[in-house]
Amino acid sequence: MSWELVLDPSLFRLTVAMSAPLVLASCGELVMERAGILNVAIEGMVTLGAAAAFLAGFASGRTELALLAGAAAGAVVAAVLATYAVTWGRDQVTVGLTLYVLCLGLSSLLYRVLVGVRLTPPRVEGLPEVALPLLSGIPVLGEILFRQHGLVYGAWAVVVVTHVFLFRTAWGLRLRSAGENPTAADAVGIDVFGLRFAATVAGGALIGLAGAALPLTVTGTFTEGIAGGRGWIALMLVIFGRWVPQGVLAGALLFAYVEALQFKVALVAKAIPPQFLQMLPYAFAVAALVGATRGAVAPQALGRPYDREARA
Amino acid sequence: MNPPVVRMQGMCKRFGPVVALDGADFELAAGEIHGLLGENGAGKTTLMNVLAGLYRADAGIVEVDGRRVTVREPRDAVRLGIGMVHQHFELVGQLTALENVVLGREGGAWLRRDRLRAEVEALMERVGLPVPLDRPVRELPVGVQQKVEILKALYRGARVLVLDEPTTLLTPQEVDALFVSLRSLVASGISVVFITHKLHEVLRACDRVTVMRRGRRVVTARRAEVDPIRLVEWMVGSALPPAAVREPGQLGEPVLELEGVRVLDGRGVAVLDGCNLLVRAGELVGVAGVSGNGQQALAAVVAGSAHPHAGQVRLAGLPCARGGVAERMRAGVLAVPEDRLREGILPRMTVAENVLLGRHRWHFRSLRYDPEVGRRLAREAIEEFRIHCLGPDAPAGQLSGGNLQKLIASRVFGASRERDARLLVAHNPTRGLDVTATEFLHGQLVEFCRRGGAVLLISEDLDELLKLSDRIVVLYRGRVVAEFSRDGFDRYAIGRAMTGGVDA
Amino acid sequence: MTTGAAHGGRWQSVWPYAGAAALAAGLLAALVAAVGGDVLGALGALVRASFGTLGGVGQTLNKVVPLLLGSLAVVLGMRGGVFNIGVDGQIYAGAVTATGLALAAPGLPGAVALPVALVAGLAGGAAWAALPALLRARYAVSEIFVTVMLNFIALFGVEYLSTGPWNDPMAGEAITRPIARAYQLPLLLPQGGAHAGILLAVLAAVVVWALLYRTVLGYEIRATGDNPSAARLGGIPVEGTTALVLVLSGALAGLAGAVEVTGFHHRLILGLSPGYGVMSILIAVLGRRTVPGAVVGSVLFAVLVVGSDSLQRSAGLPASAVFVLQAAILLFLLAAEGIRARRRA
Repeated sequence: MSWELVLDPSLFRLTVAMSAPLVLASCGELVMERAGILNVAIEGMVTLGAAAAFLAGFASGRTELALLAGAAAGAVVAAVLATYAVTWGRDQVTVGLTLYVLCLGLSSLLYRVLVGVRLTPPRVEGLPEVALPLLSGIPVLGEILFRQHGLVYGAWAVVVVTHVFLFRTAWGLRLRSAGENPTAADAVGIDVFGLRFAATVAGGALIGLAGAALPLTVTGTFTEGIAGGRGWIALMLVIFGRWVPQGVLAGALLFAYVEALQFKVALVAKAIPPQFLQMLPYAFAVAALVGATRGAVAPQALGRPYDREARA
Repeated sequence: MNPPVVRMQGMCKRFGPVVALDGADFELAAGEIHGLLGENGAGKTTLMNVLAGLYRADAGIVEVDGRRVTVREPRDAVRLGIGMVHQHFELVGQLTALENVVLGREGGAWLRRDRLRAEVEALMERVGLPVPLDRPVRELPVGVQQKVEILKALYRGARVLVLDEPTTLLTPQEVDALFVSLRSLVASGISVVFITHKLHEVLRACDRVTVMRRGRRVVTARRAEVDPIRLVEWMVGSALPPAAVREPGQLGEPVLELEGVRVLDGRGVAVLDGCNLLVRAGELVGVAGVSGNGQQALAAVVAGSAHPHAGQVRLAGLPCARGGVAERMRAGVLAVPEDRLREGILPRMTVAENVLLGRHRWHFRSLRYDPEVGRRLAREAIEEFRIHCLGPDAPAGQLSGGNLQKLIASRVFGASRERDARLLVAHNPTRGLDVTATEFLHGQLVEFCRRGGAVLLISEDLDELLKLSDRIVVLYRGRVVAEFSRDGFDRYAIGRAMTGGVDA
Repeated sequence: MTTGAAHGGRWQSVWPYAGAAALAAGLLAALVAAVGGDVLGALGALVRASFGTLGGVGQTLNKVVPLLLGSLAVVLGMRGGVFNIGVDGQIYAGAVTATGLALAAPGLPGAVALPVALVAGLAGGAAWAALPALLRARYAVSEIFVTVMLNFIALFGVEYLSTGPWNDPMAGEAITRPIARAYQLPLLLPQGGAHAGILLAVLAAVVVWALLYRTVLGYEIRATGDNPSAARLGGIPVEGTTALVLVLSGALAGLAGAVEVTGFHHRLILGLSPGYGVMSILIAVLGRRTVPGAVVGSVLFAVLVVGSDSLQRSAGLPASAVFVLQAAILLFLLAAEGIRARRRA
């Protein structure tokens, strides 16, 4: 493998483009986990977001409606999750896995019912490339960073906003306290249930948006396996990024690089069966999690339903 | 005359089949320190939790400043100027002291840390409770965390401050400092409810006292009108149950020896650091110390659930193998865990299956498991230890705290008889138990010693240690820094050692 | 019996199940109507297809096999405190080892071939679960994530084998050469097409139950799953037990893969598991993490799978509808439980 291949500017450009859905999904998950909700339905929510965005884009021909539909689908599923996990205090993993299956089924069901079976899969129009004035003129970097589709910039904005929200606002402080010690938060009058519910729905919208990014920026079509594990990867990236938005961004870029590299290598190294290259990102994800788990400190109340009258 | 700041009448609260409050009354006058005294389980904390909005009462009337109020949620209580400091602090450990104090009252959408710091510093100045504001509270000593809790309540405009067993985790020096702080708080117009089960604290710190028993008020009286004997009679309803008496027994051979033991936690920080300790047969050694000075690691390293990174643990003179808990049990070491629910109980399994835990290794010689064995042991345990439950097949998670502790005791002492146990490690074994259950457990420990066993009692309750121990060692920053024999027990000297020899 | 619902009010708890059944029927009718089918005819077809005829019974039994083995794998894992989301990957791993053996040694005599292939399946599934088991036990790495990642890797591996070295050019895209007759499970109901795998699955259910409730190891597994801290203080080697549970769980799933190959497909195909793994999780939850619950749930889900397969042909119902149905049933039951828990509080 040559240096030209691994340092190719077009590889970095692809990396940045592919990191956008990962950043969006893991920031969504991050917000939920900071509030104490572990969302193992995330892969399903990404898939359903992709389906909803594709269908809305297909029906209306308008990308903004597609994006909206993706976010809305994620938010609705998240609201169901929150009803079970927050309001009724059910086991988050059990409910999450059930919703995961529901979303997978619902995605292809909706597609089949609304689009039907066709010889050539229909396509939606992708997000246009937006060259940022001035910045895109910077040699090399401008090409890599500032000639991207709008969701890339959106993802960066989400990282900044999430950080500011979590660490610079009163609501962020309250949200973190609800995820670390809900009893303490409740005792000072913070509405733990409401906050967790809202965080889950907001995070779900971001995850749905990440799903929308897949047909609108990567494939142009919808297939059952469109998420391809990106939801699960986002779950891993939250641990990898130590529950802070910048860390998640770094992890998403690293992972997107491995994913993009695999595409590039497949083009030149024809002798290697493509399936082995396709395995690489998943093997890399396992290795990354093993490294990241050491010393990782999750929000203390993550995954634990809050029950005010539970008596120890 | 002004109406009482708080009046509660006919308060009732049930938890499932347990009646916690049975028509309790309470009045708090302005500017007083009011002791709320009773045994564990008398309903003191439940009553105050209702006032603070943590529990909803099933019946009863609450008045604040003579006006009838409904406290549905904690924020209602906060609005009414009621602040509560719980026995186990409700602080968010990862946040700084400043963030904890202002949490929920940040004064706007943005966190303006500079402005908030100025406000909190002014408050600390006014009430005389300084704390470092910029460190995560989990890194602060317990006494300081308590101050953060009090500041938190005051920052929210509390005029009524409820303190639930505030002295339990403090050294005697910190207790003195707390009482001084409370006087200055009262001087600035705050009324204080002081929940405790310790008579001498009521007599020392309070203006009036209300005694509760079985979810009801027995009496409210001025301090001048009460004396220890009457208080005890009101608390327990009769004469005091006979306390376990420690007669110095025959000391035998060394059973447990720790030499230079060093244990690292998950982050690589030494929680035990050069710890030396000796327990002989027939001896009860108490380990005093402020929580977080290596007690958990000490219990774990003796029970075999943690391994020393350096140093040696010897049992009956022989170095311990690294075999873990099972190995240690074979060698005759048994443990009463600190946290019943977390470490002692299999909540979704039956009483029978719980009674068997640990003992299953010798009750089943082959691979075959016979559920009747556990049922038989459970029936015996239920009878001998008077465990209230629906029978051997009842899920253990449904038992009350006291019965869970009896269940664990039955397991430990049952095992000790079956396996000729030599050493018993008990970590806060009576926390949260009522007086009867506490006495029962103390009796079992003493009896175990009398029959030649060695006991290592790690407790945060200094009174418990003073009552039971032959010897008290003080654990500070992961090592034993002082040792007191029974004839040399000195509450204040022990307290000094608990804070590293420097008076607070 | 220690397995049954320990909570009182057995009759009271029947209503949510009746409600869930009604909901499922209603939802199914709505779906059929949505794709423009004949609702009553479709429901009749479902019953006929799944248990109305001998052939239907055979098909249903054949579907019970992977679902029961898979859900037993999940139940065993949950009892021991691990979430095995990797049943699909382990099914493929077991199918690969069984197929690989059969293709490598086609001449093995009948009495040896089949048992060895089934053992190979057990070993393949166990091996596929060994990595997440090790990572969980040694480094506390989430087995949920690792098993999921291994599902993807297993799928790519099977795609490679079935399109590459083992491909049957006569049969199609992602299909391997068939296995020899000696490796094939006998038929149990020749007219109905049911293979003998159901006997293995039922046997596995008995073995798993006996393991959990009649062996000391099973007691230690349940204690570890209920409260690892207490189990550790009870002298149970928690990490080792956890790892062992996940490996055993993987072995059950691997057996399912081997049975699918030897009993049903007689070769390895890429679509060997149409989501058995996720269905197994739903069944385990539906059956309240008990062995009898897994048996009942597997039969119920098999009926739904076979029925919706037939509706796919007759009424044009998409294959994915079965996931929606199954998840909806479970969500309904979880909601009933949740609302009841709130009311009690």
